[in-house]
Amino acid sequence: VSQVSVLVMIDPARRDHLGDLAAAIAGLGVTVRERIPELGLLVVDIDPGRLEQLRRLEGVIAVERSRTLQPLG
Amino acid sequence: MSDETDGINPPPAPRLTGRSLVMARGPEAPEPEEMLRQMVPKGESFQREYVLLPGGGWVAWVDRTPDHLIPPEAAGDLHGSQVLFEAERFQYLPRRIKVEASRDVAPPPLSRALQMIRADETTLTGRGAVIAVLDGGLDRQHPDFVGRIPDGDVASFVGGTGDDLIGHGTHCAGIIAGPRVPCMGPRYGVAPDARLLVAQVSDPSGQDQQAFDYAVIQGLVWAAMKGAHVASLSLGTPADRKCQKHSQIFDWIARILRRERGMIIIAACGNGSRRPKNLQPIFHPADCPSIVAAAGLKDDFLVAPFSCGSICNQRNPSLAAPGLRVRSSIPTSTDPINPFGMADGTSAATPHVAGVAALWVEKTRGLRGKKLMNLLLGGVGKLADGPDAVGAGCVQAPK
Repeated sequence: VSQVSVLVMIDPARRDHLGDLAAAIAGLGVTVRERIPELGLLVVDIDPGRLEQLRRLEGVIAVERSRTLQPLG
Repeated sequence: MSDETDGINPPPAPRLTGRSLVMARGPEAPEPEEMLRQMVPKGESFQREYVLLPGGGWVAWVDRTPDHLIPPEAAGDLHGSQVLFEAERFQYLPRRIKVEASRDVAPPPLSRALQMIRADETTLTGRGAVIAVLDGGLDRQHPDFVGRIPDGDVASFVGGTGDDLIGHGTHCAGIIAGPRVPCMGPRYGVAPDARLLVAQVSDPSGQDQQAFDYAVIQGLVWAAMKGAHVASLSLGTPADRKCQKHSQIFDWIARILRRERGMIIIAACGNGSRRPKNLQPIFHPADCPSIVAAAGLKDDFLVAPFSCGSICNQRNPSLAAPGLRVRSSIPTSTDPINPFGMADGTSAATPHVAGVAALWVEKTRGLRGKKLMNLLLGGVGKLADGPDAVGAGCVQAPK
């Protein structure tokens, strides 16, 4: 199954432990592609079947599909 | 036998074309406007175009009424870095130089789009404002930008150099901060004295110039950390499905950056509509309520046929700006002789809004965040179309 990229927003109270959370997420068998620590945001590649597990992980407050944007002119 | 000498014609009489070529070389070369004004008697008018040279200096073409000559020494005392030619007459009158200049130089005309937002009625230029353009980069060798953007104000989040190879980024950046006196043609930049931050977030190698949303987010964070008042985003994507709810994450990011860093995000509504029959919803991320969403207008101040609008109980566009046949800079690699082009789209509308926001920043001496956004939205001109198409109205330059 091809993986999808998702944006993962972390609870601000947990932002100081972004590395720990990234490790926990990696434990789900996903790849952490990018970290944006200023916003407590992770970008991960994940099997769509594991999305629900990711959403339920403590400290995760939102998960959304990553999208590509195009020039509008 | 004729009286003419051995069939050899005498040199032709000097042509009085009124056109001269003035060149200044080197990093110490004075500003072209300043130099040309010094060279021409007070009160005389002239027309001119110039291009900046790599490594410093410029070449100017000046046109004035024929027969107005000034001696070469008029230019000889200007820092010693200039070479002055008369383009049309140099061959025959090397010691006489004809230059057109004035101490009462008329500013260049403004593009139609700048007139629509009343940029011709303000003296504000965006001084003190910091505006980030998140796009495909910028051609920093363009004559209107060469030497203006320091390396530290350019960043790539897609592994590039920040140089625009396609043109979309240079066009958008030009609308925000093209110079007061472009190297040719009418003025097209709303806020020529604004400091421009260039975040390259689109793939510079692909013709489709796609941008991953996380590269955009990284660019937004960088811009906010650099002190940007405004981020201009002429990128977007239609919803994956009908009546899809806006992104909670992008909305949250926009709110956080506005509240904690005082940076507002302006994004393009999208070009998916074919009005009047086919109306498409506002694209992501402009559909987020915390982002200023810019719709596009035609020259007659009616909504552009492609401009997306509010459906499915979406938010309305915030406001509108010129989006049809908008002139701005394009990369010199695209056209080295005339690096300017016209473009359509809410991509063009968005940087007009960002430029006007820069004027508000200057007028208010640095206002930021929600207060800046309220001024921007409150200073619009009313339009015939409804708020679902054009929001509060057409963005207007403050006086």
